[in-house]
Amino acid sequence: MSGAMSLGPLHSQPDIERLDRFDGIFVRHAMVDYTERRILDLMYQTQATTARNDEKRRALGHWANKQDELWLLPIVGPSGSTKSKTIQWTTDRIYESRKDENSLPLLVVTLRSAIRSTRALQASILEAFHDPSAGSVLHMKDYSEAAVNAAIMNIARKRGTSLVVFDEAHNVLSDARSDVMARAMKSLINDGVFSIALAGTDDLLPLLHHQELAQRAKEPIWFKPATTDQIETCSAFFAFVEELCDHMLEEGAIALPFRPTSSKNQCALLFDMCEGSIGRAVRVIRRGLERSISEGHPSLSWDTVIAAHTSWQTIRGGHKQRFAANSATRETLAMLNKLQKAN
Amino acid sequence: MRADGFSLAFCVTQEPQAGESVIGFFSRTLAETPVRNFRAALKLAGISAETSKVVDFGLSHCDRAKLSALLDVETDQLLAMVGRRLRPSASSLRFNAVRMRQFRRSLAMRGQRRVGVRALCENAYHRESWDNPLITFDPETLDMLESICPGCHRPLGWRRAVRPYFCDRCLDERGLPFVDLREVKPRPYPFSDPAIGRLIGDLLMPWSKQAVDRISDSLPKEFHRYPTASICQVFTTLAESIEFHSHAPFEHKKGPLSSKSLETAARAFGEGMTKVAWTFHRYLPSEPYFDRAVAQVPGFESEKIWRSLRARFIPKSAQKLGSSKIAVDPPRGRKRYGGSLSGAADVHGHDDTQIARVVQDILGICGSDIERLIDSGDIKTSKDLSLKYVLDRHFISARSLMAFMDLVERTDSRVFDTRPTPSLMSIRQFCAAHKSIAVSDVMRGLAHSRIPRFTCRSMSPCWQDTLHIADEEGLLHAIRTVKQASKWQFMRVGH
Repeated sequence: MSGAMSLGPLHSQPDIERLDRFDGIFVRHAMVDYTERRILDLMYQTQATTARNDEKRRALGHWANKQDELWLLPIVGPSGSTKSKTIQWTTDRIYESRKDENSLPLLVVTLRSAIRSTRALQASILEAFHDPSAGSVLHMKDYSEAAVNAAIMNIARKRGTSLVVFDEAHNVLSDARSDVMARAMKSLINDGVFSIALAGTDDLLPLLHHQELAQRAKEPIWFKPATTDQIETCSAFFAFVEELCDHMLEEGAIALPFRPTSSKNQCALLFDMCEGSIGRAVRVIRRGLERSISEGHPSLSWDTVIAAHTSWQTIRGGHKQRFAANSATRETLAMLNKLQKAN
Repeated sequence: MRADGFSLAFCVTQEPQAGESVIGFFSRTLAETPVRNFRAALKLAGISAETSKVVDFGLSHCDRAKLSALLDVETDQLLAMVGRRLRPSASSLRFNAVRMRQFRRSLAMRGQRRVGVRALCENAYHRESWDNPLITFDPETLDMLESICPGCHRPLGWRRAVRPYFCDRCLDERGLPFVDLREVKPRPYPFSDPAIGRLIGDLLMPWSKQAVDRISDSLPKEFHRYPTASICQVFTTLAESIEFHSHAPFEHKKGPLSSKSLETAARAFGEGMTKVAWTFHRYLPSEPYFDRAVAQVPGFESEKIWRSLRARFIPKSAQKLGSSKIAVDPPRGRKRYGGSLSGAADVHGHDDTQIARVVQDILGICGSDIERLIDSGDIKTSKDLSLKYVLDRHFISARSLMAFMDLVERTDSRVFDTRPTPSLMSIRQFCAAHKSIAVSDVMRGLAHSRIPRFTCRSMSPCWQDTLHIADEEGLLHAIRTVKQASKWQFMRVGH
């Protein structure tokens, strides 16, 4: 019986709720705390600098042209390395602790590939602030980059925004020249508008190759996947998967315990399926859960996960690829052996 | 909230300040946003009207709501800024709200901008009083208003939205305004008496609480029962009347009020309501002018202060008698008409003052011009005769009167002496008397004859009320001639 035949629609309310419960799970791994600390540090530094800038501006009026520059924080990692999820979680935490509901201490701007110019970048920031002028900036006749930056700074000061995260920052380099975007971001930093965190894949690194931007860049946060030559990262990967499965049971996403790390072979297969990325592990398990729900099972089995992943791989790879117990790579098995010895 | 989830209001908005103009508020708000172009901002709100419509907030109801939403203020707040609502707490002199003639339009309406330097230093927003074409000083600081940029030496305007203290033309290489008008050295306005200057300033800014307090301290108690804004409006109208008394009021004179007019008006207010009424009486030729002066400010006819002044201007006793002229006390100040008319003879039971006033009313010109006309013989030769026929006509223009008097001289009184009560007759009266004659024939008769005709200013805009003739028979003859001619012409064509 083919997998496609057995799939049924998700129609009942409790089933959808189970998926919702799974989506609501957030496993706080080591990178989350590190990223949160780095972001908060940057925000505090930015607030101190902007306060100093504002004081200078108040004292000197419009003669205080030169502001103290702010910083750039690169957050780099491959797709599915939980960058966005971590940023989202950090943002939620910051918003929960804010005193004024209208304030936006941290703003996340998802960059699109259509952003090819400085004014398009400014428009996307204004759009994120929900300012109606966003559209008009693109078609402005007497456009002035400094004037728009000044207006964005006014909004940022009113909303108390000290850090803007450009999520999917690599998108802007798909069409635009990196020097254009580098200059646009540099002018935001130089004008003391706010600090910038650039979150994206390795493709955004050309932005940081520009000297002026590199000067203002802080030490990057790397969301690297676990590799077989680093036992600690692999250990963290499996710990993450176990914690996720525990949470699934606690939250009621599954009725019975699910342990994909119960055997060495399963661990090896899961590691290979996810290529050591914890974000992919979450997606693999979610696909299995979705299939399990559609088949009417209250819990999740390893076979269902494998079947769902195989089906997805077919779409991805264009050919059917069946995972078997012996399909794990040699390196992975060697890593697991090392890990077993270490424990 | 718009359908696409965007809040229509700008993220950074401002609060309207007391006495601020709408265009100033609009500009101040836009200066903090990325949109510096007024038109673009209006377009953003979905308004297709011209920017000048923002000056007096003369937008449609729907557009007003849109603009208010964009600026994140209540529509009523903007309406109050131009005096369309909340009249009891009126906060301005309504110069921008009044539908004035071209020369009295707000300066902002003409794209001009003037600023008070010290006032901007104290509080940076554009006052509505700065757009008032009648004054050239800032009522707050009594400094001259600056209208030229010290950087580019060109007039300030509303080319783009900038902060109120920047030149709207001068931009640096980054596209930001940089010429700060607050650095201009302030120039004091030349008032002869600083105390009077302060009172004038206070009377021109009823939106200021301090000014209102000072006004109540310095004006007599009889003014206390009237709203300050009404007092200020009356003051402005009085100053205007004084300034323009040598011209046909509210029609010909352009330009700002002189310090002399303002000081005279302020001194009248210092002496009380009777003095104010007397000053109005002295400088406004007659009752209709007073009413027209009041009519310049829509809605103010119903104000108590106007009713009170009107009662003093035209006492009830005079109103009952059906006369618009009153027996006034002899002027306590300087004589209005000088000494030339003092020796004029008693004409038809009217004394010198009344004759002089009537002549002044008729001609719509000042006493010195009347003297000149008498000296040249234009009035003197046929004074008694001309006055006899035009005594009850207050709106005849100077040019018409001259034509009338020429007629009197040239026709050796034949026109007038042949009838017991000859007088001017309007075309409407003529048509009413001769209902069988079509108006088109009357027009043709007038067009093809040389009958003397007189244009008398009337409240009615219709030419039939404005155009007057003295020779009724002459017009009838002209009409008959024209009709006969056209008949013959028709017959010739038909033949």
